Amino acid sequence: MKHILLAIVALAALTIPSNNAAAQCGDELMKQALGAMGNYQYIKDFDIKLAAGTSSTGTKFSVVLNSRTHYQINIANGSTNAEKVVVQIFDGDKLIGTNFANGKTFEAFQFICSKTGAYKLQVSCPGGGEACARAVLSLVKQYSEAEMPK
Amino acid sequence: MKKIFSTALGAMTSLSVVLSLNSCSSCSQGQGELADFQESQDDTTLIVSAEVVGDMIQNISSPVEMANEIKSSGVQFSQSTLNAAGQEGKYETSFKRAVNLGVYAADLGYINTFGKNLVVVDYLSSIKRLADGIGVGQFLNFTLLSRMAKDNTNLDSLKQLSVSSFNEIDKYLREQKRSNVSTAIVVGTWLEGIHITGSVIEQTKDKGLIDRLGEQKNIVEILQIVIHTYARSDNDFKALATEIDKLKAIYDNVRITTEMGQPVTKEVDGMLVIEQNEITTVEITEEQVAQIIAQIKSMRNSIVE
Repeated sequence: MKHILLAIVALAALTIPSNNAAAQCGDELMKQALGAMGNYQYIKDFDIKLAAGTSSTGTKFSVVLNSRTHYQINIANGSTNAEKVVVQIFDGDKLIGTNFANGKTFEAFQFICSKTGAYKLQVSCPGGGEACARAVLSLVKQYSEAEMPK
Repeated sequence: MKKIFSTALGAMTSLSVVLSLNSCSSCSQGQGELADFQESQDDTTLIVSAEVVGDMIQNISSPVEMANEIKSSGVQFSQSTLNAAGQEGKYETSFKRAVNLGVYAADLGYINTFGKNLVVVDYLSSIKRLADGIGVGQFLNFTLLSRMAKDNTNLDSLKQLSVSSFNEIDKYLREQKRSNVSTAIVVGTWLEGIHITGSVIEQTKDKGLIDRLGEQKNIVEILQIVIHTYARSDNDFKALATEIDKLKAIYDNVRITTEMGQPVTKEVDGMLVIEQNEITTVEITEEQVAQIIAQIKSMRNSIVE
């Protein structure tokens, strides 16, 4: 009888963490990121899962961005993340920008793109801890040639 | 004791059955749907790996951005430019269904952007049938989308849900190693987006849209690689490869120059803003524009007919 009860508890213990993980890393995060996006137009979302020990490489996503276009990226971090994830935008090998600036990691940033092409979003956790996050790319504004910020 | 054991075992069995059903509620559908999407087509036999293809082609064709740009040009909504709703019955192969699902996705983006909710439901019906036909209908909440369109209340949510449904389809297909199907959808969406843009350019000669058409040179180069990857073992992609080669040959004469600059990061009212600071110039002649539009029209018509 005791063994059976232990088996049931063990089964519950195995099930509960995955449910928690789902709550911390699943749809709830997506809702948070979409809520933070505000009235801008949703384009795409990125489901970010970082394994422990991947601080330098992180995970990469490819995205086509258009010239004369103002984008916003909102990032919702998992509640158990030891730190906020860092997002970097690369054009080929050239680092264009990152959400880590002025000594802090921003949960949103905007990017004014002036060249149409395939860009790379590299997401990492500097401390190398396990982390999850959801990022939402949205459209803020499209500029005419004359309107582009100088 | 025996009773408790059997109850616990029963509970565990039920739980595992429920978990299996949940985790695979979307797996069974579609496996048998692709008999005509050339069985030999396997992600592992491609000259470019499925992962690279996925990376290359993700988000190539955001209907949101193109539709917004068209609306900004001041042109009126034109339903006659779109593929008419209700055509899905004539698309009998999985390739045709997938590529036309993409075409209708672009049309839906255009319709949503112009807020023409009266026709949204017709297009959603066509999209749902095509999605079911290739085993991805479970990602489209047709009832909710239709209700949102009919209620005419929350257009932003309708647009968001439409786009995110297609993103889910794309993600699922890649996970299922059916990136050839996903690629067909992306190609359809891109072609229809450029076809609509071309039609607007013919009417307006809008400089911003002409530049946007010229900038597709970079995208055509990516599409050419991806399409040729699948063309090695799929006749539908082979036919498409011949046509994208013709398009690429026209684009070869379009010049895109970039004046390099250093990106600047600044904080504006608490928001971090990154400015790229490069200047891109597109040199494209009227003749090249006409040739590109004609070739796009030809490719698009052979897909929707």
